[in-house]
Amino acid sequence: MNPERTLSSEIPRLRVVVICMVVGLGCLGVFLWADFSAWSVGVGVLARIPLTVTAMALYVIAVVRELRRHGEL
Amino acid sequence: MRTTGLFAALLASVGLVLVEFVYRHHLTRRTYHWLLLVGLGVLPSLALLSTATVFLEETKIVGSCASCHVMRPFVTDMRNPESRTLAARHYQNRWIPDQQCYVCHMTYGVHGAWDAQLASARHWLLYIAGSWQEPIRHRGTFPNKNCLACHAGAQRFARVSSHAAHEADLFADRIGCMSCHGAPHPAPSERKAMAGAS
Repeated sequence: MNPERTLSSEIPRLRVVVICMVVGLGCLGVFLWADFSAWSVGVGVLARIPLTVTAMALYVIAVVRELRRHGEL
Repeated sequence: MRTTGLFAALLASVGLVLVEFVYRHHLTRRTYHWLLLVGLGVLPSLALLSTATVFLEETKIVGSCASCHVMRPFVTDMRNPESRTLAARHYQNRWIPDQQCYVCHMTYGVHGAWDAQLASARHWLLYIAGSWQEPIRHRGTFPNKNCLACHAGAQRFARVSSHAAHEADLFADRIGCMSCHGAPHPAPSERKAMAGAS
């Protein structure tokens, strides 16, 4: 197996990260599309912030673990 | 800026889905992580920055305040040519040309803009949570410097003898502008009637 093509065991975690971020960005898109109407704040702020922050935090953790595993950190 | 935010969010979403669910096994580890860095870091940051910028500007306009129905009686009164409230007179005569709610309610000074934005965010949260109580009341104070920032020094202001007589008290907030000039907005009973009529 080509080591360059080998994807790490962090992949399931990154999949969760990607899903969280895509849903979070969808919420952000709704918020922007709805012209910041009051109804869209629940989606655009209350749902989007936890999702995007969680995604970014999980991504940083996954990258740090990945770098440690490869002895690059 | 709104278009930039939408474009960045859309590009990041489509890119992430393609990288993670379609092309993942065709990418090297390095390329995969670089693409994720762009999709999870760079583009979302651009989208969030653009949203924050637009949000800070959009919350200043009258339409933003009017988007919550609890605020509509205030805006309806302000736009009513027959109304004699202070807010209506300032709006009808374009004494404040734009962003009338924000300009009047933003306290001048270093923290004024920040406090006004925090207040608007708080109002929005109260609205979507349905946790306000009628009749709503202005929280905090309305310092005279909000009025004096424009009126002080104007000839029309200086010609009024009581302004000169009470100048020190006015600038020290010992006498409120509205104690002589009347209510800036309709009373709770009038607002209730307006809400019932609309």
